[in-house]
Amino acid sequence: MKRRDFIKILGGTLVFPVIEVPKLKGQSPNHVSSLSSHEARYYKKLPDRRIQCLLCPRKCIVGDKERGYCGVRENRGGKYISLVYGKACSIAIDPIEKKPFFHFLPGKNAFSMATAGCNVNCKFCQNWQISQVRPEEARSLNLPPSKIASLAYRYMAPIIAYTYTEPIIFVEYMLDTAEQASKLGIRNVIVTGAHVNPEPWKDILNAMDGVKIDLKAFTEDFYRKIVRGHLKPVLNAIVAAAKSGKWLEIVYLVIPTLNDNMDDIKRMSRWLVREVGKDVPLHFSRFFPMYMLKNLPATPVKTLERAREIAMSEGMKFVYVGNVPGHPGESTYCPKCGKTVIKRVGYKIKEIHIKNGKCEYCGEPIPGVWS
Amino acid sequence: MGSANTVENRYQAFGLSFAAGFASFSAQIIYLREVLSLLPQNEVIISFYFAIYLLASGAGAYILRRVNYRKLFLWFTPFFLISLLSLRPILKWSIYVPGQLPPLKVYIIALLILIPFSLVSGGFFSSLSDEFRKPALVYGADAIGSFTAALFLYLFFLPRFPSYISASFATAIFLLLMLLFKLRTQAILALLLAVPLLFLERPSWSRLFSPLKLVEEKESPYGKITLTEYNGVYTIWENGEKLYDFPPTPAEKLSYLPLINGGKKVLLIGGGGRCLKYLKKVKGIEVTYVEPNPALTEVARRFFNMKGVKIALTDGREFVRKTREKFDLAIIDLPPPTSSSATRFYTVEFFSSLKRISLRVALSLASGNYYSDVDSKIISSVYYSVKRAFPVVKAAPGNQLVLIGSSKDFNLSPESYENFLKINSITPEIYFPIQLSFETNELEMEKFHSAIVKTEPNTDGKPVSYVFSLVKWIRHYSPGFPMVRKNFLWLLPLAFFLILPFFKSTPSLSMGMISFSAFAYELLLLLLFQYQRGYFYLQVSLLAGLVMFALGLGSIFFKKKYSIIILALLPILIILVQKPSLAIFYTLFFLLGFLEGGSFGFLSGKTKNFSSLYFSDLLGSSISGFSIGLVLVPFLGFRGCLIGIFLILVSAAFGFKKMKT
Repeated sequence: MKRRDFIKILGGTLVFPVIEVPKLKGQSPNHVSSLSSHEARYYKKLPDRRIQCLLCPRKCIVGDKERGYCGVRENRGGKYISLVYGKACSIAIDPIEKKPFFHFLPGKNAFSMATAGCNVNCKFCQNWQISQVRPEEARSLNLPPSKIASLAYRYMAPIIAYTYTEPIIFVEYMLDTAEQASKLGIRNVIVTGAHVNPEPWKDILNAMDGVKIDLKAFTEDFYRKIVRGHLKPVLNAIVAAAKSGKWLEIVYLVIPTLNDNMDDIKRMSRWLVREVGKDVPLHFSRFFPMYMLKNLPATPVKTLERAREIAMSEGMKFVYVGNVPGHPGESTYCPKCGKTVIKRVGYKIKEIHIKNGKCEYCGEPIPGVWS
Repeated sequence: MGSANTVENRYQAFGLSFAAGFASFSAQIIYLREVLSLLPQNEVIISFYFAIYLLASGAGAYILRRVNYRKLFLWFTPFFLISLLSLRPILKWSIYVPGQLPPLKVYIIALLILIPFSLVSGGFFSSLSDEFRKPALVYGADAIGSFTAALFLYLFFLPRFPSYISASFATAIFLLLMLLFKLRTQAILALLLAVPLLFLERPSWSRLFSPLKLVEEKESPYGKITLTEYNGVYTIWENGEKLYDFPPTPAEKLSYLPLINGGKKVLLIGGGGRCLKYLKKVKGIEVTYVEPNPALTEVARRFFNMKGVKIALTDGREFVRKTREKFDLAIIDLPPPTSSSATRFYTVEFFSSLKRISLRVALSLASGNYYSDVDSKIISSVYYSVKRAFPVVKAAPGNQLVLIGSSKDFNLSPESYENFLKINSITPEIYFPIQLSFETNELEMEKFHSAIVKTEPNTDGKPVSYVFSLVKWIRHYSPGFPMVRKNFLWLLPLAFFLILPFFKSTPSLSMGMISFSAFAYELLLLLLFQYQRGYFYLQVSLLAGLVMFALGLGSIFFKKKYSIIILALLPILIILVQKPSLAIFYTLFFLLGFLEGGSFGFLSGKTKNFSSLYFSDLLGSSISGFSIGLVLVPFLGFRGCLIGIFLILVSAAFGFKKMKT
């Protein structure tokens, strides 16, 4: 075969097909294609139309027409824009126990909402299809703050939960919604990874009635590799939340092989006792395989029980086992008399024995928001 | 360049070609099985795998045609073993933990590192042809060597031994053949490399799953089964994909909801038996349990009390096709349709055969707080597939979306669920009526209904759910991957081959068209085999070997001009047959190879430029491989592809007519 023949055959027949994505027909009637152009808070202007975002510890320096790491905040000619203001991509009514809040209006419904985007990349994210995409890739609803508040009211939810993705990245939308909700007597709670800077965090705490923080591990290595964030700012945010006087609960998702080291759990428990006190509820939640960690086994219940034992032995008073419905570790026990004051099975509240914030049996105060 | 004098006699040439065919084919199949057993969602890469292998072989035939065959025999074993041994470390390096869906680059690397030994495989052929100057004999001997390898692998090695051990045995046979033909240095090198391989299998596989503890690895007809343990939780893996945990994740929703309207006889397909625990709590229940891969049933027995449960040790689809029993309900508890072996349990054809034996069907799909566009398409395609057989389909959304199909209307309210629990004195572990009321409230149902969009149902011939699942993962893991929303560029290879004979007709171009069509047809048959039977993993060596063998026979004994006419009729035959039996599958594979070989033999008599003909053959097959699996089948479907192949072959026959006999 001559070289010319070779080239002729190669050039003449090597027609590579182009992969086609099927056209996605029948979009939801609520689908919106436009992005918001609401001006963002927490940024400073830099020369050459650049800006620096001050919302989270990444402190992204963003050039004109570029976006920050979260993908939902864009520099337009030196003005920083929140692209997701008023664009909720997920709304639902959930029991408050699902968040989980165990000491905050037990048995009540929370109107839950989120926008697309996140400022970290957890490999185990349950909501990766909305948290790990840009807003134009998600199907969103046009729901301005007042509409969210009125929807919650319509569905008789006494709480609005900012959840699913990372609410920090839609802070402007969240703060305005919280203000509207408060006018209707609706409480506000945030479910967050708390990878945030002190100034916006202070404003968020002011607007919220309850705060649930996911402490994803107690090592910088885990945060760097699995979360793509940092531990220190999260710890600072936890301390600030505890000092704010707002109701705080901590969740630690125990992931087999990655953050289930009992020494780390012991160190974390000691830190919590020292920095935020023994009364803060701590949840050890069971991991179910998700997203990029679909391959790992679910957390053995024994591991959760061991973690709970350690935290309690370090002095934490309210330590729960999460995502194991029917487990005794789901219920709340009076730290003084040891009796069950709230019996839970999954999201179902079977019994409550708390009156005026106190144990019905011995009168011991049980910290929380009960009414 | 050598001459006929450098090879002692025809016997030696035949023997060396046989050895080359044996080694190349064994390497090709063992490496393919290694890829299949490691990389999840792997069926789609079968066509790419063959495409790259054939392209590299074709290039090798050209590039290495003047290299002495002794050198090629020396290079082959180390090249192959380096490729094989590289795959697991590459996977471990690129991901955090085993079974995690690797990024696209790993799939690409896995395909690219097969190039060195594929080049040598192609080089064998041209080098020996050049030496011996009897290409048809070399071609035939190579094919017979391949078929012998196929039989050895199918009958002795692959059902029992994992990749490294199979590779070690195959290398041992190769070195014996080399010794027979006095290639001592080559044989000693092969020996030195093959022996350590025997001892590397277990540690290497174990390292892949670390820090999980490897309990057991075994071969099964459907894939490689691995059992690991971590702090008392056992996990079963099939072909690099996690299937189940023991203790399992709760399956109350899937077990109870379909039964709230009554029913006692239940057919349970899959799930490693995790629904059994809950089904047994229902009063008077009778369960027949079938697992798509019977090897998993054996593993499940370790963890579940199977007392009082009828177990059918057969493929789930086969069971449904053959059984005469009638059921009130069939529960499908399988991974979502993200692989072709799973998607065959979500097709219109399967639901239709289920309807023959069951009044209702229930299945679950992963879902969540949000339905993305692609998720909507996946759910909708399954929804419409169920609806084709069972006119009433109701859903309970939530993290685990349960779809229930029935011939008649039925109740799916929290009240009726509560009543069901009371009647059967069941206290749920996790799934309480309050949960159902949250999941089926006005807002959730509105979200669900808006997620059901117009789409095609999932069929055996056009597995759209599988395609959408692939799109979902490719989009997410490789956002830069080229995707064009709407164009017809993917039709170019078809169009190109259709119009070609009107401009030019040479043996090489005709060969390119024939090999494009024949290989597309072979891949379609392989995919059809996988969609309908699921145990391609076991049979791949036999099926591919059958084609190679028939190719050799055809090229020697059937050098007829009209071979192409009969070849053109094969696609029509498969359209008519639709659901071939195993014997018909084998016959079709054989006929395909035989007729293609006949065409090759005929065309080789029309040209002196033999390497050009061979290269066209491989190049045509390679283009076919690139376009068929991911592009043509998903968008044209099986029937469309078969008609396309028929047209190309008719067009190629037109080119034949213009050639002088």
